[in-house]
Amino acid sequence: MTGRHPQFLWREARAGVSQLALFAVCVFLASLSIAAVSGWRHSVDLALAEETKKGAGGDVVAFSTEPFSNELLEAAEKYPHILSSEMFTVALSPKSDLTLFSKLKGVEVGYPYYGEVPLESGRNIHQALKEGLVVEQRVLERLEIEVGDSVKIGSRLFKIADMALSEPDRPLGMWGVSPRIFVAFDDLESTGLIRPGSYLERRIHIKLDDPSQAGLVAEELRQVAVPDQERVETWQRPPVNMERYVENFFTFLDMMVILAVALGGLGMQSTLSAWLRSRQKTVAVVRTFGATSRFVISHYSVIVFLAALAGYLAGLLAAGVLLAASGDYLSQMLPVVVAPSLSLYAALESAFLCLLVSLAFAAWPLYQTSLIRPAAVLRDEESVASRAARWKFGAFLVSALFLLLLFMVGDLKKSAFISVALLLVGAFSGVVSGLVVKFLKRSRPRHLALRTALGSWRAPEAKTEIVVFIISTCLAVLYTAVLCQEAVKQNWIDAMPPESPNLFFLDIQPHQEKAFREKLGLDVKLFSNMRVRVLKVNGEDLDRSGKREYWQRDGRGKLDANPTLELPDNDTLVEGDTLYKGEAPDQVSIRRDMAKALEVGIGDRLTFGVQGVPVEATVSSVRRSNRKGFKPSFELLFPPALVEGAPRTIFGSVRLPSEEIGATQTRITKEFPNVVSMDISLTIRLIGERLMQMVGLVRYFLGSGLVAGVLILISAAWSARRRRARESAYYKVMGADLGFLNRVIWLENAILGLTCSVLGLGMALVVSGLVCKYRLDIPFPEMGVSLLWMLVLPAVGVTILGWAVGRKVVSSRPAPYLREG
Amino acid sequence: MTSVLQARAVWKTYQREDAPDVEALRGVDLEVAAGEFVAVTGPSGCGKSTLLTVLSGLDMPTSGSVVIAGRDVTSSSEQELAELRNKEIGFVFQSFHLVSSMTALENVAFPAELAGEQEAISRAERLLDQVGLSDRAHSFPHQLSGGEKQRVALCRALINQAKLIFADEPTGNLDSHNGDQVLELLIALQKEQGSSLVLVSHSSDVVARADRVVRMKDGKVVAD
Ligand SMILES: Nc1ncnc2c1ncn2[C@@H]1O[C@H](COP(=O)(O)OP(=O)(O)OP(=O)(O)O)[C@@H](O)[C@H]1O
Ligand SMILES: [Mg+2]
Repeated sequence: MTGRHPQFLWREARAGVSQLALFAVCVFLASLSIAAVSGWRHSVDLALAEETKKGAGGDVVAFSTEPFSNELLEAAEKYPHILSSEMFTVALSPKSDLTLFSKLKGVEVGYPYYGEVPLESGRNIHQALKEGLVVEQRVLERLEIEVGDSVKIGSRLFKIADMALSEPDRPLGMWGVSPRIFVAFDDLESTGLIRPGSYLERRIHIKLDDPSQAGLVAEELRQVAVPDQERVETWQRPPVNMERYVENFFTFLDMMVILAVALGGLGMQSTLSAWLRSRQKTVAVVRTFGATSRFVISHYSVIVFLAALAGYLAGLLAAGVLLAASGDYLSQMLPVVVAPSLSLYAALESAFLCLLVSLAFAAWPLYQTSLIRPAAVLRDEESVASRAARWKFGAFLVSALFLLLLFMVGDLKKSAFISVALLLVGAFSGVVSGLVVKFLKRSRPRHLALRTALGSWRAPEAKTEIVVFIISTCLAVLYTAVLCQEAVKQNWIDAMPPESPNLFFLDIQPHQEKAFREKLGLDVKLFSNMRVRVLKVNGEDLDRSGKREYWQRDGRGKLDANPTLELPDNDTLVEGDTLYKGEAPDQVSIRRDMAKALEVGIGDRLTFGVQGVPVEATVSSVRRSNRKGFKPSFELLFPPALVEGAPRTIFGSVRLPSEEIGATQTRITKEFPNVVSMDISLTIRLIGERLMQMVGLVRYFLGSGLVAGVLILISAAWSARRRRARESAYYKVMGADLGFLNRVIWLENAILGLTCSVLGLGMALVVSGLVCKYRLDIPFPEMGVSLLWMLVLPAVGVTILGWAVGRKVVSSRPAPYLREG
Repeated sequence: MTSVLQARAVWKTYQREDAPDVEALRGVDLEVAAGEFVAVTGPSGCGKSTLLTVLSGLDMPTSGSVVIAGRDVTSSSEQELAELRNKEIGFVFQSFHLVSSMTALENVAFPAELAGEQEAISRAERLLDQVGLSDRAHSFPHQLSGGEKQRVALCRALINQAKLIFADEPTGNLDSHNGDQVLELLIALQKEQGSSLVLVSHSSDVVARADRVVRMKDGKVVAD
C-alpha cells in the first residue's frame, strides 16, 4: 500500500473525532498563549523602538542628582546641548486653594531634540514658556483652573501660559502618576526649590550631527564624569530602566507561557495517545493486511497535522480578538503606550513555535503507534517502547521546549535559567504527585467502594499521574501567586493600622525643622535622611562592575541613612545586642538585606561617601525591618555624632483623617513652598491595582493549563468508557447494584480532585511560605476560610466533572458487554 | 426435588435499528432442580447465550416469567436483582471477564466483600488454593494464562456459595487440556457445594457428564 488513501484518512479521523477535537483544543490553548504574548511583545517592541528615538531627548545624555561637575559641563560644551532638570513639587492654586503633587521639569530652549511637545494653541513650547508654565491637562483639571490662571510653585507665582497635549519623553517613573508642569530652565532657580539635598534629576542632552558617534562621545564624557554620581548614557536603545522593566515583564510572561504550553502539550500528548489507542485494533488489522508502519504513521500524521492546524488557526484568531479587546487593560501594565495587535510577524512566529510544540508532543504517541505489532494487539497486550526510545523522545521534547523558550526570551543564559527553574518546579511537582498517586494506587483500603475506586486508577487509560500532575502544578503556581499577592496586600497595602502614616512631607530643610513642627501643629514624626554610598569594605574598593537591575538594591547604589540613636519601630536586631556598642561615634547599624548583599557583618569596617566626603564606621549591629504600614526603613543608621553637620534632608509623616489631607497639604505648601507633601493612599491603591493585574495574568495562563488538565481528564474518561462499561457489567454480574457503582465513580473522582487540590495547595503553601520568609521578608498572610475554598473548589470541580463524564457508563445494561470477547 | 429455577414461556426479541427484529428465544420453558447439572447445547446462534442472560436476570425477557430461588426476576427491582446475583447466582463466561485492575485474589473476594462477608479474603485464598492458584493470588489478569484466568473466574462464581451457577462455554477459549481441568474443577466444586449448574457447551464430552441435556434450535428447546 502506497500513496495517500483519502478514505482511510477520513474514516480514521471520524472514528476518533471527539479525542481529536480535544487534541485540537489543546493546540488551540497553546497557540492562543503563544500568539497573544508574541503579538503583545511585538507591538511593545515596535512602540519601544519608536519611543526610543523620542524618549532619547538626545544622542548622549548625562544624568546626575547633584549639580554637574565643571569638568563634565566643559566636556559637553564641545557639542550642541541643552540642560533640563526634573523634580517633584506641589503646585498650589490661589484661585481654587487646591494643591497638586506634580512633576516639574525645567527645560532649556531647544528641548526636545527629538519629537515635540505640541501645545493646545499650536505655538512652540518655548514661546509659551517665556510667558509662564506649560502644563498637562490633568493639572488644570485637578486644580480646577484654566490657562491664564496662576499657580504657585515653590515661592513664586507663575501664569499658566498653555496646555501641553503630549510629551515625547514621558517620565518613566513607573507609570507617571504625577502630572507634568514645564517651566523655563532659567526660572527654576527662582522657585527657591533648589537647595542642597533636594532631590533633583539633572540632565545634559547632547545632540550630534553624526549620531553614530554617540558611543565615542559618551565614552569621552565618562572619562571626566564623577564616578557613582554622574551617569552618561547613549540613547541608541530604549531608556535602560524601561527596557529592563519591559524585558523582565515579558520574561515573566514567557515563563507563564512555557508552563502553560508544556502542560497543554501534555494534554496534546494524552488526547492523541487516547485517539491512537482507540485506533490500535484498526492499525493491527491493516498491518496484518500488509500495510507498512510507514503507511500507518504517514496517514495518522496527516490527520494530526490537520487537527493541529485547525487548533492553531482558531488560537490565532482568538489571540487577535483577545489582544484587540483587552488592549487598554494590557497597556496599563507597561510604561509604554501601545495598542497591542496581532501582526503578521507575530502570527508567523507563533505558527512556527506552535508547530514545533505540537510536533514535539505528537511525536511520541505517533512513534508508539509505529511500534504496534498486530499479534500483540489482537492478544490485548501492551506494546512497550524501549527505554532508549523513551529517553530519546524525552530529550527531543525538552529540547523543543527549550528552543521555544530561547526563541521567545532571546537570551541563552536567561532561557537556561528559566528552564532550570521550570524543570525544578516540574520535577518537584512531578515527584510529589507521582509518589502520592503511586501510594494511593498501591494502597488497599478496607472499604470496598474506596478500594474499587482506587483500583480504577490503575487502568492503562486512566492517566491519573498526568492529570494529578498537571492540575496540581497549575494550582500550585496559581495559589503561590495568590498567596504572595495576598501577603503583599495584607502587609503593605491593607496594613495601614490607625497609627501608620498616610501623608508624607519630603525635602524639609534642616533649618525649617522647628518651624515646620510648630506650624503643622500635629504629632509629626520627622526623620533625617542622608543619601550615602558604600565606597570601601574593610579598606577594599567595592566592586561596582556588572549589570544591575534597577530595582535591585545590592548595596552598590545610594543608600538611605538615618542619624539616630534609637532602633526604629519596625526594626528588630538580628545580630548584636544593642544598636551601637558604647559611645564611639564611628559605628553603623546595617539592614540585613544590605549586609547580605555586601557580605558584611559585625566588626567589618565600611567607608561611606557622604556628599563626597569619606566617612569610616564599624558595623555594630544588623537589623531586619518589617515593612508594615509604609513606615520608612533605613538601610543604614549612624550615631548622629558621626555625620554631624553633613547635608541632609528631613522628611516627616503623619496620620490624618483622609478628609483633612487636602487642606493640610495646601496649608503646608503655602507656608513651606519647598516642602513636598505626598498623599500615599493613591500610591497604595496603584500598587494594589498592579498586583491584581499581575495575578490576573498568572491566572489567565495557569487557567489555560488547568483547562489542559481538565481536557486530559475528559479524554481519559472517554477513552476509558468502554472498559468502564464492561467492568461495570462485571461488577453487576458479581452482584453490585447501581448505588455501589455510583459510589465508586464519586469516590474515584473525589479522591482525584482532593489529591490535586491538596497537592497544589500544599506545594503553594510551602513555596509561598519560603518566598514570604526569605524573599519578601513579610509574615505569611492570614487566609482564614479562603484556604478552605482553595482546597474544596477544585476538588468539587473535578468530582462533578469526572462524575458527569463517567455516570452514564454505570447505568448501561450489562448483557451487551458480556457477549464480546 | 425442589427447583431453584423456573422459566415459563420465555420470549426474547432483540430490536435492531435498520434491520428486522431477532426473536432469539421463542417460548422457552425450563426448570432446574437443586444440585442438578444441566447442559445446554445447540447450533451457533440458536439462543443459548441469550437464554443464560435472561435466566440469570442480566437481561429481561420480552415476555414470560423467570423465578430464581423463589423470586420472580421480571418483577424485581434493580436492587433486588443485584442482591440475587450476589448471593444466589454465580457466572462463568467463555472470555473470563475478570476485572483487569484487580488481582486474582481481589477478583475472587469481591462478591463476598460486596455481601459484607468478614472473611472474604481468607475464603478467596482457600478457593484459589483448591484450584491450585495460591501462588498466583496476587497476579493481575493480564499476567495469567487463559486456563488460570478461567479458574479464577470459577472461584469468583463460587465464593458466595451460589445456589445456581451459569457457565457459558467456559472451556471455549481453552485448549483441551486446560478445558478438561477447568471442567473437572467446576463440576467438583459444584457437587461439593450442592449448587445447580447450567452449562452451555458444544462439547460432547461435557454433555455426556451432565445430569440432563437441553437441546435448542432457533430459540426453542427441542429436546430435554
Ligand atoms: N444484542 C443483540 N442484538 C441483536 N441480536 C442479537 C443480540 N444478541 C444476540 N442476538 C442474536 O440472537 C441470536 C441468538 O444469539 P446467542 O448469542 O444467544 O446465540 P448462541 O446460541 O449463544 O450462539 P453461539 O453458540 O455462537 O454462542 C443470534 O441470531 C444473534 O445474532
Ligand atoms: Mg453463545
